Amino acid sequence: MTWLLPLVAALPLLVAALLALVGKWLPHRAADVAALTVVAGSLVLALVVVARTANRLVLHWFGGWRPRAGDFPVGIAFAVDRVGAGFAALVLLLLFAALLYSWRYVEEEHYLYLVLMLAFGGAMVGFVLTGDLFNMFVFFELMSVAAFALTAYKVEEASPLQGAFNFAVSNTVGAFFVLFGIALLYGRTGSLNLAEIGVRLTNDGRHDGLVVAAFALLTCGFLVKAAMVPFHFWLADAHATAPAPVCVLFSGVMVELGIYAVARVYWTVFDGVLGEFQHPIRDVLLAVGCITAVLGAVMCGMQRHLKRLLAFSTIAHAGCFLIGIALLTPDALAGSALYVVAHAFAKGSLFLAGGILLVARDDIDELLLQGRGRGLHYAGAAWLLAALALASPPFLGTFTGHALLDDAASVEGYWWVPAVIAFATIGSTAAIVRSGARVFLGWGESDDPLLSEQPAESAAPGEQEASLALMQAVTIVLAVAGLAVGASTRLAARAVEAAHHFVSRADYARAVLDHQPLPPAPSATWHTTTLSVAWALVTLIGSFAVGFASLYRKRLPHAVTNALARALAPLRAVHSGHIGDYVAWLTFGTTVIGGLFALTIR
Amino acid sequence: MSVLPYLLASWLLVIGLYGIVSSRNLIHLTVCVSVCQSATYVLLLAIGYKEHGTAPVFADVPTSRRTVDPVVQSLTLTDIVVAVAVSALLLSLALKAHDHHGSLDPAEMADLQG
Amino acid sequence: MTRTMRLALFGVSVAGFAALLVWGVADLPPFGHYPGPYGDVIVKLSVPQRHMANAVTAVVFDYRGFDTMGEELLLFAAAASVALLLRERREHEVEDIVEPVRSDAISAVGVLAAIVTLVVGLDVVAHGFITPGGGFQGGVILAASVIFLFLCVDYRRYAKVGASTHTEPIEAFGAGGYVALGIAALATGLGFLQNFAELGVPGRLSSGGSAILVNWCSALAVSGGFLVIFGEYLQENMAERHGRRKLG
Repeated sequence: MTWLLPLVAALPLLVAALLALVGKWLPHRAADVAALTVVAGSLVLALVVVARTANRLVLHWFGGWRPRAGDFPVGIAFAVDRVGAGFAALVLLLLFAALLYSWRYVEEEHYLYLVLMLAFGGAMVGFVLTGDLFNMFVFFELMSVAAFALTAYKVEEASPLQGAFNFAVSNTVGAFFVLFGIALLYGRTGSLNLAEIGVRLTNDGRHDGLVVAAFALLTCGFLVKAAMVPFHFWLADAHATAPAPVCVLFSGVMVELGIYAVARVYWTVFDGVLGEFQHPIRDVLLAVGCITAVLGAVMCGMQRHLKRLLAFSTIAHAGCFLIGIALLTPDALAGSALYVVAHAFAKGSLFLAGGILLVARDDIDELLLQGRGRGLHYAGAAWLLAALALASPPFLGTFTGHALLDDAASVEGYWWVPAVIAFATIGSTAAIVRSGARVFLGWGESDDPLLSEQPAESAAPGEQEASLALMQAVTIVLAVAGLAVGASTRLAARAVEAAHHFVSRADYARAVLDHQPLPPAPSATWHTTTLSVAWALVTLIGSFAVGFASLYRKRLPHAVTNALARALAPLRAVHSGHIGDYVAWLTFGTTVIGGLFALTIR
Repeated sequence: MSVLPYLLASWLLVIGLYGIVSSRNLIHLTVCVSVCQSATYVLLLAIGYKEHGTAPVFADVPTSRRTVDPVVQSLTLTDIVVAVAVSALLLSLALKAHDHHGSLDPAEMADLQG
Repeated sequence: MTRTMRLALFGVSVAGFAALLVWGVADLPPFGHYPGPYGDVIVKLSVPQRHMANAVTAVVFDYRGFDTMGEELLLFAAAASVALLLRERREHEVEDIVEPVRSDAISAVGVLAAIVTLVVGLDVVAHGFITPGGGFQGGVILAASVIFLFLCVDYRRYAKVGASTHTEPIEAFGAGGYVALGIAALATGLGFLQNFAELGVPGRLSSGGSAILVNWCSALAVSGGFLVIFGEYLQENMAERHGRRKLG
């Protein structure tokens, strides 16, 4: 069993290297088949691991450096619980869909594209499976470098360069913060293994400047990847310009990995020593999550570039994911996990539909595309289904995620959190509904005073001969999958059980270091409450109502639109596209969050 | 004095960030990113230093001899490779940006806004 | 945001940020008195357990070999990225450029230097487990030896030796070989990347076991990666300098 684990990450990486070796001479389709096969193989292995991690932590010590019980761990370990395995499976599934979609969509230097996609996917899988802090950093950098290059794929245009550059510098600065935090922890505990660091910090017991600073730096570094406010500026730039299948991975799993990392590091390393400060930590992270959710929703409504619109929608939803982690309970964490899965499929489908529009209609601007999407039935249907999934209707799509989050928040006394989540959902999904109606149905006014101007974008030269049928098929399947996630209460119950293992630091440490088995989680059954169904109806009706209404924003009285535009102008101005601004905000955000931790954890 | 190398690492990080924020040239910006990276090297290596310790190579030195920490050196090696990779990428992006805009000023590159 | 606002925002934050960093590092163990167990354990074990005299290389290629694999792949991905981003310029556009160095003395010394550097590089790689050195350090030196050809002889000779048809396979072989070695160990029932060969005598060239193979793979990957990246930049530069227009 343990031998399966390294293969899940290593196989895509091996094939990436092989394709670099022979790819120039292979026919395109052979390279595609090779890539798809290895991803499918890894996915099967990942699903096997998911099945086997029901009440068990699966471990692999690299180099054979398995410590005897109680010995110091000198090697690197993959330590996989169900949440980690599930995430790895999600990564591979999305990668498979993206590669299938790119069958003819991405033609230039096709083998290099495949090499980078496989490296990107393999690195994300490694990141999720590992139990070593520095190993996390290495995979973090590997996935980042591949992502930067994939963003700039269309080098013939100017905006991908801006997107990639801003993405690269922002995330690299975030990585520095992570490394600084790792160095601080190494200085205190002398170890790089997550479980071992946690044990040593807890035994030491000091929560002094070093521990708090390390926590702040690690959290902020990972929150940069997770695109939380004010670290989020790079996301919109990167998504607007990267090819659609790449955006599927960015929005579906890459951003979510940042949130996963915050949760994993907190629950394995810091929970013991900072456990008594759960309230301030919860409050700070909740604040970040809520601000991000609201800001993402507001900015989303002001976009006419479809991919940038979807990017801000991702930011809004990512804020909600962080809210789930911030509540620091297993139920909320399970809610975030389910929400992530449904969102990944739905958002992925939306990006792929945008890609279809770009190829078939050579444009991605909502106003310029008005009514021109009419012939693309499958893309339009996928857009509708995915928007439906994101609107969290009762028993479909992101419903189970939302319900678990809302219930957990109410139990902990944060009665206003469901309202924030609903606002974020309605705000971002309304924009998606609006743009879908405008593009695929031709409804609405031909102008909208509140939308930001964007540079034009057209399909890259190699993108014309795409296989529309295959692209549409993948798009529809993802949309349906997104809807289906919410329908399974068994999935919800399993997620809650898995979350219980995720949050127990002592059990994790005993399993990794002393080879003790995990105690079984309390078996959960999950019931829908009337309140969650009520919220679901609110978000469903709200998203569609606001969406259709905003088609006619031009008809609002001038005084109203002028006032709104003036109020929103500073927010818009802040998203300036200038990397200096982004890094200044990064520093500001880290200082504020670190300062809040410093003041409250003493 | 015993905290001075760590303060140096913090200073390097801060000055590198200042360089990035105030930069008017993409190449200069890339080098500032490297300066931030150097901050992490200094921090790691300073943490691992042991007074009167020699290099952890035992070809000509008995294994009982006090040496500095080898693990941080390995971490720094990895860190250097990361710096190379990121710099290589940023420089190629700067090259292409110059091709498109004729300038290396980040302010000229800000097409995507709002 | 205007430049003033940007610098003001940064100025306001940096004081707090620096304070956060200083507050964090103040609690580190005093410089020179690091107590951490990881290093001590490795130093105690590296010779008796692994027969490797160089503890750093032991950590890089054996104890934490998986990190090094990730890092080789990182360099590999960077080289692939540079090749992807600079793909509009093709090698054959510039392969006829000569740009010779005009001094025969420099060319002669340069070729000599290239050969010496090559040998030194190979030596550093081979002795990685005995003296300071190893795949990384040696790989960079090996790359430098090829670059000497451009610096001291002419571009065409460099382009012949450092052509992407040579460097890209070397680099891919190095990175892929590393992963393949890991999987091979797995296939024989050991841990991924576990050292599966005879460990040899510490202090001799033969020490290190199968980590020797991993060492050489990393040397190939590093030298190949550097040469790919350098080659791409040089192509752009040569094309600019000789007024070659981009195709399409």
